[in-house]
Amino acid sequence: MKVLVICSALLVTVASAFAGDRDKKEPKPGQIPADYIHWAHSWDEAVAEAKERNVPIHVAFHKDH
Amino acid sequence: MDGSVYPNKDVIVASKTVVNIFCNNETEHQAKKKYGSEEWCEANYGQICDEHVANHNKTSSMFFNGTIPNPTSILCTPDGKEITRKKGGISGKELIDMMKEATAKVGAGIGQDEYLFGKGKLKAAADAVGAKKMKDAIEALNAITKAFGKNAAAKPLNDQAQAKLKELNDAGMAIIEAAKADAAADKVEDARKALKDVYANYKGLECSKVAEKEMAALPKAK
Repeated sequence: MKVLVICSALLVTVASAFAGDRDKKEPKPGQIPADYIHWAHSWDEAVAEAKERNVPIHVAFHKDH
Repeated sequence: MDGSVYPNKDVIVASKTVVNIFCNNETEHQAKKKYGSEEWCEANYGQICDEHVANHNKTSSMFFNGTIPNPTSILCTPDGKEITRKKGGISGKELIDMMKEATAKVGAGIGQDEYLFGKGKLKAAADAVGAKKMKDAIEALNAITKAFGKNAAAKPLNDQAQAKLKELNDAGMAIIEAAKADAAADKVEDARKALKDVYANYKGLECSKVAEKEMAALPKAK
């Protein structure tokens, strides 16, 4: 009986360890904030929308680092 | 650029007074981050990396000769002519001030929320017409004219709604003309059915009133 309990505990531990690895590899789904800056999908789309709304275009140039 | 600038609530509010476009030709960040059921670029909600790379490739030669100092924030007129720019990092307040300066130069426009409301109603109307739900289409289009009828800055949206309402009215009038021809050819019940349909489903448009009059003029059902 003792052997059976020990084996079960080991199995749970090993399974948890694998689950932990999987969680690390697959990022958890991000949460979409209630509000955020909406970015145009293309320059042409930005110009078309800006003309229709009669508003300026904010062009943000960035690098990763 | 301080990572807290774009998520700042005051910057988000100000961003709705302009159209924003993000230009970055690097993809060292996570390209496909899961947001609910969506997969977007880690750097921006609602965008995939291919888009901000394409934006960079399309716009870099429009705004720079040679090296691009990153980050750079540029505000343009609606047709893409530069109004002002700031090289290097920028605070939320500076960005908001740039947006205010640019919107003052461009003049009265409509905010993003109002625009999305109008576009959403136009799409709902188109979908309803496709499903032959004319009442729903007219209701969606009337919501636009009611919301924007007195707003000169929203003229493009209002004009689109008015044009669609005219199309629907013309379609209703065409059905009435066909019904009148049926009535003249002694197909009175067919005519009555068509007129009843226009009267009921095109309410709010002139053709509904015309259909009602034409129905009254038909010989009574036997």
